Amino acid sequence: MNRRQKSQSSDDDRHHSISSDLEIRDFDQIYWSDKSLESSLSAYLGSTGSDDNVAFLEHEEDRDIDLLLYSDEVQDCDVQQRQKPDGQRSYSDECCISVCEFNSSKHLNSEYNSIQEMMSSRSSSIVNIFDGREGEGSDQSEASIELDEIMASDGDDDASSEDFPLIPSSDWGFFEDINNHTPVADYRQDISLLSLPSSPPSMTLSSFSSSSSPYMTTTPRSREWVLENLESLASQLLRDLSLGRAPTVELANRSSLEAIAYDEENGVIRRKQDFSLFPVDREAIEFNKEPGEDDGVTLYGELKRNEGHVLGSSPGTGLYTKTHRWASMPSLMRAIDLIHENVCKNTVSSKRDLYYRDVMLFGSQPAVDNIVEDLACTLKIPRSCLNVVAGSRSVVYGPVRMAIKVRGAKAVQEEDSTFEMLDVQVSQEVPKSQEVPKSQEVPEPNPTFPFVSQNVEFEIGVAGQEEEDGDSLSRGFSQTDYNMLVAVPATMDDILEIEIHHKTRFVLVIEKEATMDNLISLGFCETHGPCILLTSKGYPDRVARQLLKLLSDMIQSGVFKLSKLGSGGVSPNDALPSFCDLLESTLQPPLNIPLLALVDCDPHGIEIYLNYRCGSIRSAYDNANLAVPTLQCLGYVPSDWNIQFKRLVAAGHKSCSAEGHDIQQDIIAERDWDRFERALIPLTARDRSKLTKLLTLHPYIRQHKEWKRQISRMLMMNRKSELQSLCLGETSPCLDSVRGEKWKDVSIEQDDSHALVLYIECKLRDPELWL
Amino acid sequence: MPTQFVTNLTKEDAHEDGIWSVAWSSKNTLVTGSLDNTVKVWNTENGELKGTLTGHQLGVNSVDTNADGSLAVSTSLDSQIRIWDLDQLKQHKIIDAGAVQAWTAKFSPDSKHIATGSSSGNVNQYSVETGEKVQTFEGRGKFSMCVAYSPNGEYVACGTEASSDSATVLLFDVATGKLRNTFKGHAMTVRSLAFSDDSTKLVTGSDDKRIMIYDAVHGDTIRTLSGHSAWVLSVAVSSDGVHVASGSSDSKVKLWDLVADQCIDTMDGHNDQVWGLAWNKQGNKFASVSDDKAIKFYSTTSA
Repeated sequence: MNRRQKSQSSDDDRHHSISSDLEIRDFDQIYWSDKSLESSLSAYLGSTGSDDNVAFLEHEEDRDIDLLLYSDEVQDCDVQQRQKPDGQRSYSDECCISVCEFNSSKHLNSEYNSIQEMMSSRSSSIVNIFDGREGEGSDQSEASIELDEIMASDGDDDASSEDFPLIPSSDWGFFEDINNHTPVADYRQDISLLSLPSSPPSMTLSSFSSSSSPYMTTTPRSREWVLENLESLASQLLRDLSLGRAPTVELANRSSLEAIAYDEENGVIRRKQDFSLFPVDREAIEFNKEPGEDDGVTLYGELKRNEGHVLGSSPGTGLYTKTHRWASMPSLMRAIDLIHENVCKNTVSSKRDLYYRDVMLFGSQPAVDNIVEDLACTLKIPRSCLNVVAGSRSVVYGPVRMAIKVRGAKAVQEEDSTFEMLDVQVSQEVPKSQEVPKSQEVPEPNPTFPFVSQNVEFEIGVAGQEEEDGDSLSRGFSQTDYNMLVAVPATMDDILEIEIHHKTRFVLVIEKEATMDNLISLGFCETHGPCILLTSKGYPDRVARQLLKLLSDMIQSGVFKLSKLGSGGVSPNDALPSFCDLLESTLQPPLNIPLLALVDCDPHGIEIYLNYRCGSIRSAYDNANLAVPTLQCLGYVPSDWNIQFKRLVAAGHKSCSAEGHDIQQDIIAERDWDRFERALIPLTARDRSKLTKLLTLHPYIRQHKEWKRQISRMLMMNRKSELQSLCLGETSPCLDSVRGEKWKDVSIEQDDSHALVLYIECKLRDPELWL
Repeated sequence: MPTQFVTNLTKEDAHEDGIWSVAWSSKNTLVTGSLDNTVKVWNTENGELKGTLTGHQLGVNSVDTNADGSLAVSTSLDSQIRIWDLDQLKQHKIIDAGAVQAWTAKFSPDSKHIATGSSSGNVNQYSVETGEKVQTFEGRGKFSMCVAYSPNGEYVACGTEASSDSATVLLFDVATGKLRNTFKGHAMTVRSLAFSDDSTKLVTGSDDKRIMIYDAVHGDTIRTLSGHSAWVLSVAVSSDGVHVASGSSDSKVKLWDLVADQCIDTMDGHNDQVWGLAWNKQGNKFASVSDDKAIKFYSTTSA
């Protein structure tokens, strides 16, 4: 902590400034001639932070909420922008240069001083940068270098595409290309052979990431790769500081208007692949240097302040957001430090945990969140590769079971020689022709009923022996069973195996936990299932979306079971194949299991659905692995009201046309109307603003005629309603609405069934009603 | 013996989607706005389509015509105000009012201005000539869903969302821009309002299913009409001041005689919510539009 104290002493001088007529010296000569700087850097990265043991709190808000659509603060910006005649929004260039802001010279001083210390003592601080990684030898550094070379080729699309045939990477375009896909597996195997043994998945994927897709995809990387790149980021900062220049890092433009695009083919919000950064204009950065009281040099800078700027997408898509991005340079450095430490030790911490480790510096949770996301986007890796997670709130129930890694059980697989290899990786060891049922054998789905299971049970690999009871405690993972309310682990890497029961009819994503509990306790899964229920208690967190995406991928690939277990013999954290890799090698006819969402009939409900369906702007860089385009909205939508209106109308007409004006029927019509009306809540100004933004700005809605109609109707009628209104009273008006119109002939035992269950049943029967 | 009105023309599937708004110009053309984003112009005599005006990106929730019937104004859900030339059937001007800043638009009687209700509760007055905002009548912060000028041009009224402490109809003095009167009584959002031709009476329709008739000058409640079993979505007063037509979510059109003080007829030809009603200049014909995509024309038996 002495760097803090030092910074205090030099604090008083910072108001003096002299012009920055710094002489830019030949960098290579001074620093790169001495390679040990890198070692000292890594020592720096490895040494700090470990003593800051702030209480570890697993408490997280990983809501992927796009602030524009959800924040009132942005409204003014919108209005101003809308009023520009050409519809274009103007941004200062600085919003594309990432964060270089010193809002606290104290922190900068402290960082600088600590670096000074490091440099002065670097001869004694040559620490192997791989110290933090267990059991891995010097081979790794070679591996890292080679990885780096391959990484360098990523920037040049043409060069790498000559070397490797262009193959759709891990996004959905892939599934539409089933026929052409056979060579992919072979090709991938070849690559695996060529690639370095320490990280086959990242190797193969890195070659794909340079495909011609205009949208960015993230690539899972090995720990070494991540460390290497974090260190190179930090060394850039050190280089700047040691040259007396403003320390500058170019972070990727994660979610600005220009960087985000709408992938029309899939209806997903994506980040552009080739979105180039504006070069950092160093001249525009005011950076002052003056001699301090100490013998050292005190630096502080007032960089051009990078306010929370307005961000959004390319012209034409009209999608935009605002991020409160004010990451200061010290915060960034500290975050890199903490993440580096995490990856070194191979521990996982939550974003909340990072924040608590240096509350004073970070200032706010969003600051940490944004740095983490920016880093992940810059390195083009999923956030989980930074070993940073968000606490999970998601719960899954139904005919799905998983093997979940026991946290902290790192080396179990290696030590436990009795561990049974339950499954094998199909792509390599199971001949496809034997395992894969021919598509002709698949019975045609019954067109009249959407949920006929195809009765194709396909399991990857062979089931192994059950573990002895004694071993199950120490085997490093725990197995969940069907129809268990399972909390989704905070990171998908913890899911070692997942299996869907082959009789599963559908997957239902539910907005509210209360609704899910209600359905479970009503026996919905027994009467209408087997069905998988998933809720993330409001706006989805990332694991919920990842899990849904995985389920979707499995269904699209026709796979009931995926397992990472059994690919053992390697460190469980680095070399496990991702589910994505497993799926790519096992293309089956898709299963007839629709993915459906049950949300409120209000702006939040729609946004939650869209978050699952199209991805959020916040996570646009990784939406290829998050968004689930196969998800359809089951309800609850305004057209359900409209049917009710018509039904009430019909009742009213009956009473009018009856002889002598049947008063009894009038009263019934009146009562029905009252009941229906109570379920319809007037919109607030905020609701209207959100709905209007959805209508005018959200690219998916803009291109989806039926959603536009539904939202327009909601606006025009000036009403919304909650799912719970379906459960009010003995009979539900909206249930009648669905039944009355379309399923008069369907006999449903209303007496012992709950209104909500009936509503879902009615909706399930008619896929045409799904949005 | 009250005057009888009969349905003399029905135009089914007039739009591709529900029709939300209607206006009857002094040149006897009917202008309709629909959820299908279009504005259509019809011949009121035979119901023939004269032209389709496209440009709005979202549903058209209000239309109006100016005094001589040469221009129409329409607003859509994205708060764009478009002015159309009805003679040449093309767009005359666009005014972008900004998000949720223009819900409905009405021409002033002198056709020089357009008044719009807004989500902020203010009524904004735009110049037809320049398209610029020239005046703002300060509301009470409650969404004003409907707006109307008095035919003598002295007042502009807006109907707002109800709340416990504020009135649901506000009457402004156009000359001074000051709030002149507030009208209470409705329990829920006022969807529609109309002045009588002599500017003395103000008729309002609300989500509370009732129609109220106020003394526009003194602010007293003259009468409350109930009979609809659902939200009253639209009201329109005939030029002779005798008849009020009302359309409702219960899909019915009701005709009220203000002299005899009663509902004289109920038309149930529509089978979905009736969003709009418009009288002709003479007060012997009117038209209704509905979510069922149909336009219906009604006329007196004596006419």
